[in-house]
Amino acid sequence: MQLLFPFKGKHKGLPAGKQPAGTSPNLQNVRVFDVLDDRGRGGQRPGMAKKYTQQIGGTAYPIVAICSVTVVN
Amino acid sequence: MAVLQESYITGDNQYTEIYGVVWRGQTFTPSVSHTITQVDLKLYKEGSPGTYTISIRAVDGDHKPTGADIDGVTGTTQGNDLDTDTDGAWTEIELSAGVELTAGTEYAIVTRAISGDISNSIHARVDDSGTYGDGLAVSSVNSGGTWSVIAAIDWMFKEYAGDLIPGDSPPPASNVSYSKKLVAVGNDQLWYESSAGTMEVLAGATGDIDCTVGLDMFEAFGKVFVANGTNLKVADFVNIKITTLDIESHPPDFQTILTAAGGAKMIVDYITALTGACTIYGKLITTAEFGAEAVTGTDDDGNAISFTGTAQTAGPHWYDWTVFGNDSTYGIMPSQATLGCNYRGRAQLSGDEDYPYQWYQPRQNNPWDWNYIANDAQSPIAGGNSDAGEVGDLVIATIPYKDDYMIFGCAGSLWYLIGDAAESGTIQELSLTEGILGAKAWCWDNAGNLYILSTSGLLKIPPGFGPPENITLESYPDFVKDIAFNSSTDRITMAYDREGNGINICNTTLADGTNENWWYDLRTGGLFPDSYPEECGVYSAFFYESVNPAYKGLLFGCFDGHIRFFDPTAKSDVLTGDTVEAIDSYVDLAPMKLGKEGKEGKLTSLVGVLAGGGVTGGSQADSSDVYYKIYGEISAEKVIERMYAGTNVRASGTISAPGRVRGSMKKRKVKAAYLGIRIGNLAEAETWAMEKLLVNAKESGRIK
Repeated sequence: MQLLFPFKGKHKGLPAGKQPAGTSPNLQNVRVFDVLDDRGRGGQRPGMAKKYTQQIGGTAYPIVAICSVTVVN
Repeated sequence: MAVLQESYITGDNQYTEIYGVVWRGQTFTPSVSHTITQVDLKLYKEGSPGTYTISIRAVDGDHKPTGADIDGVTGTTQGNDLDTDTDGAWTEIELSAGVELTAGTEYAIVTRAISGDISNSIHARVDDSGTYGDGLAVSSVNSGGTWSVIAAIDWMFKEYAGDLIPGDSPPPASNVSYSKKLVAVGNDQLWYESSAGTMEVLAGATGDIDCTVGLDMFEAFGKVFVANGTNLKVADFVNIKITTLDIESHPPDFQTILTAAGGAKMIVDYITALTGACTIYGKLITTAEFGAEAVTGTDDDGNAISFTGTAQTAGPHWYDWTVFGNDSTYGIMPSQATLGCNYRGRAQLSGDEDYPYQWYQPRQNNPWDWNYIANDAQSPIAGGNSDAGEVGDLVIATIPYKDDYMIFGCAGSLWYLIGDAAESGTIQELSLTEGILGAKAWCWDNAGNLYILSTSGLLKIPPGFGPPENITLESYPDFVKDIAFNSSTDRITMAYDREGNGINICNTTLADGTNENWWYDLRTGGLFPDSYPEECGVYSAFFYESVNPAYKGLLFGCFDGHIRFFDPTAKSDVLTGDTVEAIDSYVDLAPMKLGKEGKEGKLTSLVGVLAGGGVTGGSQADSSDVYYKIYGEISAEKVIERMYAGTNVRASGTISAPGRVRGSMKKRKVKAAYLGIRIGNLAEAETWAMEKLLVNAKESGRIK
């Protein structure tokens, strides 16, 4: 029996004994397209890393909104 | 044509004298290789200094001229013809032939007036506290025999290239004539990207924002408009500002052109008052800048504008969002709002606590005009969404789709405006049975599909507004119930990731950052649950189309004030203090029926094939090892229950990477009617990917 990654993600809409092919009853922090080679075979999600070193607000308060603005030079 | 290369033209406040054996000069370092053909110096004369000669010389490691004039080339001007005005005048001196200069090499402009003396001399204008960073002033009192450096001084000079040396022509500094800046709000402060990769606080905004109440912001007209309850504000990145103590009798109108006495011009955007002292914001359209000087113009009625303004101040600026000139002739803005967006050039507001079913739109392309009395196609307009005679549903989200549709996500219904409400637009219901879960519980994909996390599930609404499709209805009927969203304690954020081709759905608890998240993969249509550390709990998200590719991508505003992204090279989540937290990742391959109906089967062996070529390193990226846990029970649901609880593991171990490792077959005997296998990894700095699992099983006896 060959088992592949459940490409269609979490499914809990049918009886437990009728789990549809390509689905899983439970999974976490995974992606279909892996971070190692971007192949559709399943693997761990990418990590969350900081894009900017600065902490908005200067300390640990939530960032409630983000947008961008375009300025013609 | 001579092309200006190096120059220093600021801080002119002093002079230096050249005569007889007193030679002086200025070193410089070209950034581009070129053939120098001309030097401009700011000169005047005293007496009759005679011929004034310049040349280019090499420079030693101490910044002192060395050797003879390069190629014997010189340039001369008649010093007796110079003016005596001590302000000096820019004087062009052409070299008799070009001298090739190499980029990054320091050279000296050496000058002398050998027939002059102390009373008949050339005076060159200088800055006695010069800031030219690529050269120094030099001086010799023995006709260039020896030199000394005068570090504090820099000459006023310009040097020109006749021809750029082939192969070293400068590329254009940039092929874009615009910039993008990221803007983020947290801790009652607004921060912006002052340069690529650097966020800086906009000082004036601090304390003008209250993050404990609803806040929305959006870009329009080179500005960011902030709707934060009664704090309606503007972060202006495009305009300059000037102030005046008295705008006099005729204030400028919106888009009036003002001209300063010195020639600077601006297009007026906003003014804080129409009488007395005020501040005027506008787009500078000249190289010349506004100084403290007279400013004139003509208003829309043909009246002459005349007042004395201050020198201009560059942005970004922070000010109240009011009607133009704070004058009631431009109407009255809503007193509060927590939702905002740009639709058809209208800076729309909604989320008024007193009128939560209402939306408001100012004049098209004029966010300062809220005078609803006007009756033209661009007129300000306000409205609600309901059948006639009913109070509309509470507006929770405003979702503009290009200039075509404006969707109103309400508490229990969805509506949309087609076209412009002031010009034949119509409002129609999209759904009268489904509402939206939050202000940001929506996103668009790259095909124009709209996704809304509604009260009944994840809705997909095709372009043109076909019937909404509930894409979780069959696969996950309890999706919304399991999210357990509480609008008073949680925040839903959705964002389309155009690089990952999927949608992030994040539900974060406001108080502590605990979170539950989902990745909806648009390529497979699958839902994948995620969990992040509390610090990484998502409060806001935005796909940033940065001009700098290093900063382009889907960004998340997180619980701890950091802006994060999904980094394919990161194998752990990065926390506030740059420590990392392992990603607890796993997938349950279950339940699998091992035997025929009423019978059990027996798993006998397991082989895992992970990512990688089988040799550590090599061309194929290698997976880390993964753990496996095998569950076996007499019913499918019991297997799932055991896997959720992590109990009654029948066999476990490690599948080694990379690839398929010879001799890695796990011989395990698990007898059961249904089987479940979990593989995963929860180690720091590790990641994994799987090709497949190979399971050998055979039938066993009846279930007893």
